[in-house]
Amino acid sequence: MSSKETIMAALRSAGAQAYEKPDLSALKQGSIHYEDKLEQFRAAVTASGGKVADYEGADLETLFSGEKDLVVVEGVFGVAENGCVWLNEPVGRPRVDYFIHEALAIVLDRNEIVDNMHEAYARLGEKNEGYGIFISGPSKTADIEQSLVFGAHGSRMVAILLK
Amino acid sequence: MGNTKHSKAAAKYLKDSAKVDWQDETLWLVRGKRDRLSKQIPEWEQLRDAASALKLYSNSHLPELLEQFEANATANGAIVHWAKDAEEYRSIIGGLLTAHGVKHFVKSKSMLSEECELVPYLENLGIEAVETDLGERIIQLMGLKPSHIVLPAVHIKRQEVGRLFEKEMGTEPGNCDPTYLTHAARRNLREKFLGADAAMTGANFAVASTGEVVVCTNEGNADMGTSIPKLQIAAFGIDKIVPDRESLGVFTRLLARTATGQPVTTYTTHYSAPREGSEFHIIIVDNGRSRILADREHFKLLNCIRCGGCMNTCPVYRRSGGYSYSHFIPGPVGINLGMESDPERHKGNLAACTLCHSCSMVCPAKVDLADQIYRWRQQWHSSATKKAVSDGMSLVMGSPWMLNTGLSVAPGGMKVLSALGLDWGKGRQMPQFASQKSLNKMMKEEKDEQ
Repeated sequence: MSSKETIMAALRSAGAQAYEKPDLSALKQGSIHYEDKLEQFRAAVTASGGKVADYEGADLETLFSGEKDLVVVEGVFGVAENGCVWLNEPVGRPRVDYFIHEALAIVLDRNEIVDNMHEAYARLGEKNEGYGIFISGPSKTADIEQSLVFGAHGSRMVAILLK
Repeated sequence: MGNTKHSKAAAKYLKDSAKVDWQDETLWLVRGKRDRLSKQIPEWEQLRDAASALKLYSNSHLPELLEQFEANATANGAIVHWAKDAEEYRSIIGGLLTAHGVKHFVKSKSMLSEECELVPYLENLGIEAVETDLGERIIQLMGLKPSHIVLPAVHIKRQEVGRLFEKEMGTEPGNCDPTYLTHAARRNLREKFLGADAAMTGANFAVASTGEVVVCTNEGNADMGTSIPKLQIAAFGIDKIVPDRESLGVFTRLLARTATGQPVTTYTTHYSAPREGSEFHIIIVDNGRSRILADREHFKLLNCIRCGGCMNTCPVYRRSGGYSYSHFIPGPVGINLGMESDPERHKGNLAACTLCHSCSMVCPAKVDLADQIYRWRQQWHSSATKKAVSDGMSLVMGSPWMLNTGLSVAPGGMKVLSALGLDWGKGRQMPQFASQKSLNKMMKEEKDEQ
């Protein structure tokens, strides 16, 4: 018997009571909504250590305190409740570009902001494009005495540029 | 009477009382952050209910959900392996790395790899296996094990990290500034990432409807690791299966808020297809989980999403530290997981619980942690632990004199715990009672007045 068959047989013979799949529609409908999604998104990005600026006339040098190692990428949509942005597999550049530079700027359409993660996943649907990521602010750690430090391994600075 | 392994280890831990207080306050701070964040979400309790119901559904439908996951993952171009136990998990990974000629291997934090003792196995094969989460790296370089599942180095002081990095990474002697040390590790581990032949992650969630693996980190170590080499491995226990992306909406709202008091982790990465020019292998592991599913009294343990919230809130964990427990996962969930894996070896941990139920109240997937510990105590009739705990409890509870005395000679209550051999009671302050009289005494007086 293959290991898969062994595991499946063990699971089937476990005789677990079968629970029904819960209906999440009431939860999703009743979940947090914001009157001003953009304002909430700004606040959440800032709280996570990121910056928000207008794409038009953005001065990256000032935004990233003179840091030259930076990259500008495209985000698909943002989430107001936690300030994260969904990014697809990058086109024409390696995936590591999302992480390896000191500073990361994500360009985002200001009209593409959803309230919460339920709406975010509803928007993504049950299909996948091979890879995708939510990024919320700069890389961080608190592994030394719970002191918050930005730039553990990924980008030390993150700015969302609103179009 | 009745000193358990846990209480003996705790007694040793409690000798450094300044460190105990610091540890207690640190963990309580994280619990406080969790409280603040959860209160910003009016539907928090409905989210917990949904998470619990989703896990009960997925864990009771594992055969079809795992089949669905495998079919979708295979269609995405990933290669799926099945491991019935730790040995098979290790040999699949060892085989993959050997076949690809891997000498340098980077991994992100995975409690499954601790459970299956992967790193020592790979080192024996001559493969350098580098932990890349900062806390895990500190622990690995110190030759220690994690003392917490989310905050692995929470018991280490900055001075200890400073001395370690001075030796291992050539940092300035005496400099123990967390920013300076973190950035030194960033530079040091960059070289490991760039030189790695293969990378591995665990999984926070494995999504049946899409065949993708979701990994949540703050540091970006999983992302740096998996973005460079030509071989990527993701391994997870069967209980990580969630039915669909709709359910990810529930779990991603709960995980980081409960674990560290953040609205979401910095990176929530969805891996499904291999990166261009590389291979993506996924290992689905049982290693005792199907046995837990068959255990009517404890199957809800499989609801656990490994957030560590129960540790941060547990009064015994906070004051006895992760190393006082005999199982590699400490705290309330670790007590229960240990009993499932090897009850004879881990029964001493059963004493490390006051049945205050704080863990059950905090758990985002509503695992009935404290009730399960209680049931283990009831089930474990023959063990010395059970005897010690129940003898002690019945000695106090069964004797009105001792109970009343214990309460009225505050702060003697904790001395009662100590007398029972439950040494984590040592060094604790008994709270001030609003009334100096016991409830019994008050009721008696009231009766007399009537």
